[in-house]
Amino acid sequence: MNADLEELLEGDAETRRLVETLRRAPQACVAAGFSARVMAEVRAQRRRAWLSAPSVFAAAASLVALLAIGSIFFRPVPKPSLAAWASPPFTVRLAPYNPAEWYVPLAYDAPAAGVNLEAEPLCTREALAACGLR
Amino acid sequence: MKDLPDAELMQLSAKGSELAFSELVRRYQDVLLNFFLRSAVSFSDGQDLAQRTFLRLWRYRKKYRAGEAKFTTFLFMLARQESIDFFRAETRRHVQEEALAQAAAERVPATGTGASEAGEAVRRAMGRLTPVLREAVELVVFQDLPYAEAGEVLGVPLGTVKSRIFNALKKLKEHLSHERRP
Repeated sequence: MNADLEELLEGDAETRRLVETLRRAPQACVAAGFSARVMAEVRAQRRRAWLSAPSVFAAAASLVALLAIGSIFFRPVPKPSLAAWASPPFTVRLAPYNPAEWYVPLAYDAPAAGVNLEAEPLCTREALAACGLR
Repeated sequence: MKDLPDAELMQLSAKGSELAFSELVRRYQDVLLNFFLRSAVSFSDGQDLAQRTFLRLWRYRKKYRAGEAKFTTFLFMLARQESIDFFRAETRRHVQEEALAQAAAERVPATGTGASEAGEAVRRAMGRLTPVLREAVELVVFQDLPYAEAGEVLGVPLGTVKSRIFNALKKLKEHLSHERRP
């Protein structure tokens, strides 16, 4: 009997007898095979834990990561073939020809350029000398 | 395994040892069964609750810290929770007397089942206590836990446990004296 209970029963013979009666009362026992059933359930719980949502998610995530890494290191090498020689390394698909789209206005704006080239002589002596022409 | 203390077996169980856990089951199966039977459930419900408590113990095995609490405190906390869930779900408080009668009928007269008149009288008297008083008696008188530890399991101060025990023993005395009267 623990010290707390001893203290409570100190000098109270009637309550002490009651406590002793309570503690002496026959105890029931579990039916045969109880612990085996519990352990079987524990094992089943363990198996279920492997299939729980977080573990399935972790397995899926690791599989995706493995495939991603694998695709970097084990990329298929392109095989040289007749088709590879026959076709250019890259192809540009040309749009249907439209002359209007190819027209770029290149009007010369002399005042904006700051120098009136038309007014300057194109073939100066210095220029010809520089070119080795006289 | 048989010589190892409970706390060490729990630590081994936390690491995944089924052998250690089965030793704990063997040690406490009858203790838990009687814990539940005294709260006036039938024998089969008692066994079911004991099994569920062990499964709960397995689930929470990694949460047990040997330095913080005794193993029995941890176990009875789980058992109490299981008991609360059971009564809440089944709303059996109103039919406990019927359950008690069924328990007596169901009790298997196998080896060591211990179905005797004295045992029955104690169970009946315990069944008449309020759940609050009953669990205090269960922990202090039957499981021999000190007030402090019982208070930890019940989540009440030490003084409350003391007064509950005093009141419960007073009521038990009355109930058992009624039982003895013809």
